[in-house]
Amino acid sequence: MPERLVFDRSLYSPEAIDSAVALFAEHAKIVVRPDGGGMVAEIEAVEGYDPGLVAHTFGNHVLNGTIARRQQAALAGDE
Amino acid sequence: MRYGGSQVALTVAEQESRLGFTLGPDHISFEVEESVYPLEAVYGACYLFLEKCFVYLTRPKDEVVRVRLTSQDPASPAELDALAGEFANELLAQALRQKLSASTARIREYYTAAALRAATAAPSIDELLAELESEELLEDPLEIMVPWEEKHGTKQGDDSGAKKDPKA
Repeated sequence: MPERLVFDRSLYSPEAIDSAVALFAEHAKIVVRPDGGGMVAEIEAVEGYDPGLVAHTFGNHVLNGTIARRQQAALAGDE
Repeated sequence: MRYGGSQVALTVAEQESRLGFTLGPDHISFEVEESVYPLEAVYGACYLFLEKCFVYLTRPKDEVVRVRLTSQDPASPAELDALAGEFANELLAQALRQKLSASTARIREYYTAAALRAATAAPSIDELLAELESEELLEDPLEIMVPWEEKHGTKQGDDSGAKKDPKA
């Protein structure tokens, strides 16, 4: 049973989700699909990895990427 | 690393958060109103907590963000409360910092512009060299470049000009 995380579009950057999916390719099979106002990620950890840990770490990476992108956008807007 | 087993879940569910937050197995969650704490302040606090715990945001309704903090290791309700309390304090600090930053933006812009203006007004090395070259350096109104003998004449009896040995 894959772990499921919903990323609301108003809170998470789609680019950050794509970037994290690519980063976690070796650790999990992640399928992302749009769902209403968000993106649903279904995360199936590769055998040997804790599914919960992989899902939580994936969530942190997406949030970190979102924050970094917002900061870059804010800096670019200031220039 | 371990995630909440059934016994932990039962223990946690029986206890309440001292701060009134929602407790779960190894996680605590609470809602933040964007009218009180801007989204950028939420992100600022989240960024600082990404290394401490797992942070997950959802939007239960407009202008409201639900923050869920999951401990990286098994945690007691008191520890989760402490984590959430620390997050709430950081959230307040971030909101205040952003408010101050916004209110002092004009004055910071002014000082930055003034510093840049001063930097551009300062002459470059090339300009200083050109200035030196253009000056009449050979003019010597105080006759500094004139040798002493030429100016005041030689001392009598000192025809050799050699230094005398004080011991002799």
